[in-house]
Amino acid sequence: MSLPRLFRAPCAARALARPTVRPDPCLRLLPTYKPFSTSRRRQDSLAVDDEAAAKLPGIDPSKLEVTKTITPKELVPNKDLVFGRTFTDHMLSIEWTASQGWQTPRITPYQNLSLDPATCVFHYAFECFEGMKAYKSQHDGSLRLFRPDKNMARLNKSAARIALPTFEGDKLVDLIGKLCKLDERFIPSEKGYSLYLRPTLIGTQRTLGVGPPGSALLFVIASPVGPYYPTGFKAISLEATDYAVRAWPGGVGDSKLGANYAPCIVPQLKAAKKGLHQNLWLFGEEENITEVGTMNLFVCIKNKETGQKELLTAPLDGTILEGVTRDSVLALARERLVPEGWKVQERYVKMQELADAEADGRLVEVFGAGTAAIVAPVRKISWRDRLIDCGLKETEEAGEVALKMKNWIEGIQYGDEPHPWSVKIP
Amino acid sequence: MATEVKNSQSTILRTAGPRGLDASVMIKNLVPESEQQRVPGPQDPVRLSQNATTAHILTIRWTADSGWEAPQISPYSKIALEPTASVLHYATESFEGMKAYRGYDGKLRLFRPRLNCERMRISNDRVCLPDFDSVELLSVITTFLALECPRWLPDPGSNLYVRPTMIGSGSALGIQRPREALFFLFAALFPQSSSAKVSPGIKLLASDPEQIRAWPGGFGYAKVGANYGPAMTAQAQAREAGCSQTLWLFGEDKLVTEAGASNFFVIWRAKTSNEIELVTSSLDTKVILDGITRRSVLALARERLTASADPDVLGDLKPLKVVERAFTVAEMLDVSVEGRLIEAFVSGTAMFISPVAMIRHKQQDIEFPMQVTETGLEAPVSHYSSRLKGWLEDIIYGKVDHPWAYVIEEKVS
Repeated sequence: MSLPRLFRAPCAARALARPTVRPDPCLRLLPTYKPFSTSRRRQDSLAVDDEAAAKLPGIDPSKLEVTKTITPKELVPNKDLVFGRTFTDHMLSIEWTASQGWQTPRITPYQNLSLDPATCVFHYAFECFEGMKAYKSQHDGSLRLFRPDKNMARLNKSAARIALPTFEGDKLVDLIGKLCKLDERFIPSEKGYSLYLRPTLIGTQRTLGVGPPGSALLFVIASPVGPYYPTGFKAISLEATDYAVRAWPGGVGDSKLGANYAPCIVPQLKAAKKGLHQNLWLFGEEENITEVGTMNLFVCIKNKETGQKELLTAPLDGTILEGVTRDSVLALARERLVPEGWKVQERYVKMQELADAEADGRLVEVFGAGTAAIVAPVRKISWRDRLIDCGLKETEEAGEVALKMKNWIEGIQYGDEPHPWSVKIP
Repeated sequence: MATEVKNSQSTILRTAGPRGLDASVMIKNLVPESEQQRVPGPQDPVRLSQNATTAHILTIRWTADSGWEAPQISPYSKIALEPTASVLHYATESFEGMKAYRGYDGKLRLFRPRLNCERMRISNDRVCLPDFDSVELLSVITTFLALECPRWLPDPGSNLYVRPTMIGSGSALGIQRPREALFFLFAALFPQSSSAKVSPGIKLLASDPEQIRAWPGGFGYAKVGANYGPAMTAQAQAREAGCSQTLWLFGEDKLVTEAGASNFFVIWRAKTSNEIELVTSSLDTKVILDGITRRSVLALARERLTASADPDVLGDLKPLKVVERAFTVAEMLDVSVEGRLIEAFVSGTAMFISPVAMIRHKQQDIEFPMQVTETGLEAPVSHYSSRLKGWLEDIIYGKVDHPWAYVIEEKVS
């Protein structure tokens, strides 16, 4: 919806507004209810943001206020953990306003949010998030995060793309560490278990005008999770999806915005109706392979001319999510597979090229890469009237590269292998 | 009432629950009139905030297991959600924009409201929110407005902005079809534009290739949150360039699609035929919102502005041809350079019909013919658009009887 500029009120007029809403007595997670912002909205121009924001307070972990729960939850047995069903006792939240910057960080008992019906996140999808995990090392009992700087950089990039406020990443990592420490008892020390962390940033301004949100809420919730494949790998089958697009040039596909997800549910259900697990998102007339479901995709093929083994994934051209696992797989491959004679390349693989490789017996392996599963081996891809076999033997559920990557990355995450990517929570 | 409705692609995935939406089981928990806020006058600055709402909110809960619960009208209040609510992470949300109009005859009207209800079904279908019977939804909306409007919309010739919204309200960190949803609707008191006031015209910034609003196979045709927040950076660029909205271009050919979140129309003289044409982008690639005002403009223009129209209706205007097709910004530039531009305007529920003064474009600005009004103000020439606007106003404010106007009977308290 667009509204005449007149509607996007300057401060004076806004200050005259009276709430017709009754303040919610029970919750103070959001600031004391303010029906209007007392200052100008966040600057319209993204270009001047840095300057304006520089004068406003950033996230300050030293000001953290902690309110501990008086009703600690019972721990769910490891075997009963379901992704996203159980949450820890506490959550972290930090409010932001255009006039006052980032407010006092708070750790409070896990609780509901209370939002006005006119809050912009409900109408215009002013929202972005991250997915990351905390791991407990069996060696020294330490809690660790995996490349949290990457998640912070991406959350900032997502925020900027959707006119939400940015912040200093290391400050949020500091606070996330404190939340993990406080709820440490929820993190199983068994290998494969971890604490899934979901930093989320939403626009909270109460207005129907489409404008940069003048207030926002950053919150982090934590959910203990078990291994993605509790009984070992289970290879998935994909629908090569050409009737719908996930992302496009000039769009927001490279950012982790809510806007990228809701529209993908229908194609996923359609694929599921055909007995296929995920969408393999093709793009353009050339049918470039972009991503799989909500993961990046890797293809291993033998070069037609030279026979050299190649690990390929789509380039970061603005339509591809900049996956932390993607980046890790590439870095490890360059470090550990290239010396074994592999070639590692970020370039598009066309669907036809994949089919040709299969036909020639050159398709070695295909797998998805993401935080939840680390790697997701692919058995088959349904494309037009064909079923492409991605190289797994009937008796195996994962290829060699996927298996190696999972072991390497997990080894680093759990502190088995000392590595700068694994960041200990102090 | 018109009932033209486009069927959505993926009807097989409609998520109708076991219990359908039923308007007859309404629950009301009302604020006594003595405890309600005062009603601001049409020019009250409180309206500028876009924040003032009426006293009540309409909510309807839905769950995958039991379907639609009884609609409720209750005091306007906050919505409590788990931090894991699907809408906050995955943008499972859709909305509509409608207005309730107080006619000069004192009657309350909506404009083609069935179309809003049907479009919301299409939007919901695209983001996996639940389906509903649009007749029932309209009935619920009607009940709400019949209750609110006697107090909150008293002035003839004024309107109330109505915002139906649907969100995935259930807890879901996995990306999946929402198992719980909430429909809510509230009415906002917006500033009332005086029809006597002359608009200086909208300035549009043609989008650069780094900003593409929608793509075939995407969801540009649906009124879902995902189309709006991501448009914000382009909007900021427009503001910086001294414009108020983005003119969304698409593809290497720079096809003209929408303006801001409104549909875009241009009137020009065709090069070879010398005919006057009213041109707007066609809907075939599904990157454009099927605007209700857009449809109405096209229908009125076909009926009253073409060569076959009643000469008395046409009056001093020359007949034009209505054209829905893809057109490029280069084509508009040519027309502009050759002096064939007549006027341009945007259409939408909030913007209504607003003339365009200029389009800022990298290579060259496109300026539309301007005129000086009797009061000495400069404004875009708007012979056709002001005629269209007048006809629409006659319908929504009840100056004429028309099937597009949907009259709501109010209880006299």
